[in-house]
Amino acid sequence: MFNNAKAVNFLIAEDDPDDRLLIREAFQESRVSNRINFVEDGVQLMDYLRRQDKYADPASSPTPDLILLDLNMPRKDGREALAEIKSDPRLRYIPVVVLTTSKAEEDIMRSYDIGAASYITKPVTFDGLVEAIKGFKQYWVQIVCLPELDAVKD
Amino acid sequence: MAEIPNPIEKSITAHNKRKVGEKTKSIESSMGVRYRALVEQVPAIFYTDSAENISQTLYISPQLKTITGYDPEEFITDNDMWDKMIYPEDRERVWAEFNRSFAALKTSKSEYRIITRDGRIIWISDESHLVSDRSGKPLFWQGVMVDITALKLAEQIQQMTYRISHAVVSTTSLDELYTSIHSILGELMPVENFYIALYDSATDLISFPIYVDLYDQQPVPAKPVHGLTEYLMRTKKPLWATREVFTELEQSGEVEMIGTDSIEWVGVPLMVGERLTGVMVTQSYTEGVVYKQEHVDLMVFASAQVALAIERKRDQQRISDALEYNKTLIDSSSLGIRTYDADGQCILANESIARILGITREQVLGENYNQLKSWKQSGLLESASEAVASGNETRREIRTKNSAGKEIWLDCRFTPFSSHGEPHLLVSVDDITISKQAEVNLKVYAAKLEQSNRDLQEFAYIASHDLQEPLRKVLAFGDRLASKYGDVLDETGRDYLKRMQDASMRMQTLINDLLSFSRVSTRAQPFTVVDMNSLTEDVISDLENQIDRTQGHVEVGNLPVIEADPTQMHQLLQNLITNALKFHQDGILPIIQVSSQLMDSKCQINVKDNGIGFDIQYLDRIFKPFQRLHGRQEYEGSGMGLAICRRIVERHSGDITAISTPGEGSTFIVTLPINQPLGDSTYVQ
Amino acid sequence: MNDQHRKITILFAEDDSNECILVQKAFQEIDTAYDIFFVSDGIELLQYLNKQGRYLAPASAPRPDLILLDLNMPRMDGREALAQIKADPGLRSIPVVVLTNSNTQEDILRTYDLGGAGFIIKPLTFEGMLEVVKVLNEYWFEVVELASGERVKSIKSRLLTLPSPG
Repeated sequence: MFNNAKAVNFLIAEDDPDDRLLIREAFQESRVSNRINFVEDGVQLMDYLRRQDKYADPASSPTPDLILLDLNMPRKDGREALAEIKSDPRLRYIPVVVLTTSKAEEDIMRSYDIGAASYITKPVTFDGLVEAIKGFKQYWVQIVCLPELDAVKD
Repeated sequence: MAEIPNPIEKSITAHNKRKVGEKTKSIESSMGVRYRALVEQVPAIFYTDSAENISQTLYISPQLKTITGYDPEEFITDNDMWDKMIYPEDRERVWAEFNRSFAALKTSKSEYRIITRDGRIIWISDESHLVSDRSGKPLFWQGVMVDITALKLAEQIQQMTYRISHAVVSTTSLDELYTSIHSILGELMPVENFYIALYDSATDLISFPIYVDLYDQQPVPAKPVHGLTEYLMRTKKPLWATREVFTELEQSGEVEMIGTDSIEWVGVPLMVGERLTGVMVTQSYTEGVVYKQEHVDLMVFASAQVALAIERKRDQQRISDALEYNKTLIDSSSLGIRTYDADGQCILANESIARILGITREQVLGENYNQLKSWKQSGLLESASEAVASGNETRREIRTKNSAGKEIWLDCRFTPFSSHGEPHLLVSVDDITISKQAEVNLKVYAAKLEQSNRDLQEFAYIASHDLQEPLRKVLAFGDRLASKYGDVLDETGRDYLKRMQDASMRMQTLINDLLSFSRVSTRAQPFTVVDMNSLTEDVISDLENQIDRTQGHVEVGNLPVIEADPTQMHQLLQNLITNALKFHQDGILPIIQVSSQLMDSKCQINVKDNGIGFDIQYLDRIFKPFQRLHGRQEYEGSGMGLAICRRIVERHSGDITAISTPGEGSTFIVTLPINQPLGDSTYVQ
Repeated sequence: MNDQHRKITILFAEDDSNECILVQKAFQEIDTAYDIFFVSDGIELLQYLNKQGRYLAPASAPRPDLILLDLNMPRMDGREALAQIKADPGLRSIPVVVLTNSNTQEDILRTYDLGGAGFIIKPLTFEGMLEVVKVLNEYWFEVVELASGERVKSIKSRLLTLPSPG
């Protein structure tokens, strides 16, 4: 019953290099061995999803099965990017989980409204982050079914 | 030189001629019986004087006797009699006139007084003209003397009356009027000692507005006693009192002597219609008959006019005082007052309105509100018209500019009233610029405060957020360091790492607490109804873990329902109970009691514990931010909890304090008003 | 009004009553307070959410924190219901997790395309369901923040948010 057939890969949009490192380490600590790619802001995120520029190669930049999205990023922030993704018929099927420092009610509400699948406030401690990633993995990797790549019409 | 005009004169002439030798004979014979009778009937004294010797009277009619009491025979024989008869004061004048006309052979006419045989003084009009024959040769003087005493008296009275009534208008005060009356009377009679007494029935006081006396001082107003003045007031009849009359009245008990004894006293009541207003008196201290009947008559005649004059003057004074009073009221009022007539013309304006509008009074008085553009624009015309039409007061607040261009706020009231049957309008204007300005300023200030609050809130949030961020990294990487490379470090290294992490966590707490502290004002919610019992239950539920860990027990009594900020109340109780649990005594299970008392408009909530307590000398310190009574080692915490409590309590216009005994426990006492301005979250400290 | 300890509300749209009992039992195993409401088809689901029909009284239909949705239901199926929920601005912020028998790629894709927040194939055993429910609980009510505007708490999470006074 569980979806363990294929290796799910994540695309993580995070501007803070420290946070990028910590997230990577948290994934490692929680034994999530899925492939993760990083982009540093909303522009890069959209470029990646649209296979623009340096993201043209699907081998190095595979279409993500799920996007983890920080809201506060330079150039184009997560809020804008989320809106773009969820209004693009070729991209909106990809579940987006917001992972950000903000716990503002407005951000939470707006994110769900625009179409985020979940909203996670970055835990304060590293352990907390590990716990969150574990929980995240259990849900999205173990329990839930994600669409297979071939089923997606490009 | 006149011709002999008529038969009567002819007869008289004839008669007179006879008296004097041959001339007399011719006169007598020419006098018919019926003419004589006629002549002797007329109430006038006819006489004929010699043309050669003016002192010689040839004929004088019998009326001489009836009028003056002197005998015609005597008169003719005694040539000086006439001179002696003349009232001494008038003699010089009369002779002067007589001599003049005699010399000029012209008609002589004069008015003079003569003393009658019985001592009376009467006024005589004496006219005589020269009779000459056809050739112009003077024959005799023909004269008529008429008793004009009554006429003269009437003249005098008329003149006096006129002058007294004129005095009402010409004098500027009551005092001046009295002095005027005194002097007018003084021209006609002796009034060296004179007074007017007025009686006020309302106060039962007699006052002496004018008192001229050789001996006595002007008395102060006093209650009536038993003097002549009072007697006169009682009898309301004129009294001419001589010594004898005094004595009589004294003996009969009617009167007591007051003041210096006078020899003669003349008093007349002053009546206005049937009403007695006072008395007028003149008296004499010198022996000898001073007053004559004519004086008394004069006083009597004068009294009516004097009474009236006094009344009129008093009314005038009253009106003038009232007007003065009103004028003072109107002028001194800080309200701008104007009245307008039925056409809208301004007929009265006080200084204040001129000052308010920044124009002169004259300019205000020149205005007609129907033509004022400013009234139309501001709606004042509408309010004025409505007031006049409905007969009810209207009111309007307007914002306008005065003549200097300064913006002013005016509260205008329009009151219609009737004057002489015509509709008028009273407009009173209150300059409320200052209070309005204060209102506006307050609003502006409140808005600025709100904005400032918002800015502060944003700043506090961003500051804490941005401050937290690097901290998280320090903590997170500290964690990583400890877990991945902990075994590479020696004990000292691990210790250093731990201290770094502890310090970072403290900073995190500090930032959170600071944010909480600032949020007491910036995140203050409007006051609403809060059930303190259910709120405390929630707090206890939230603190379940800590309660379990410390094996504590919280008892909650009957707490009231009050108006407060629910989130802040939650925070308050949470902080207090957390403290109570935290500062428990080693080995003693913490027991916390939350109770309350109601007092008037306030309620008192007590959180009592059996913990370690504190020295009461530190009472002030513990409520200050960052103040701690224990080292970091002993108890964790930033020292903000109670400071936050105090800030919350202050925002609610309440109070917080504590009592404590070290080693036994503490009780924190929070006093809060039961009611708050509901829905008000703007004015926070 | 105390909203800080409102129970977690789950709305389960499922026509098969056995499944309902299964789910209910599984949730009971978890040491958390839940209110679970059941509707049996799409129409009832929408009526509940819009407080219509027999759900007029607000207390009878509290707004759910999470919707578990079966796809195959009579009258209106889950696919249609999901589309309508996500098209409604007042309802679309509620996460909808599909719990269904279907395992077609079409259904999976469509679910995410419409805005679903998960697609779970119904476990066949109670242990399986228990596992699912545990993960659901852990993820949606521990890890994730929900948009309900109120702080929904379960016992474990309270400790993390406590400030330390002094």
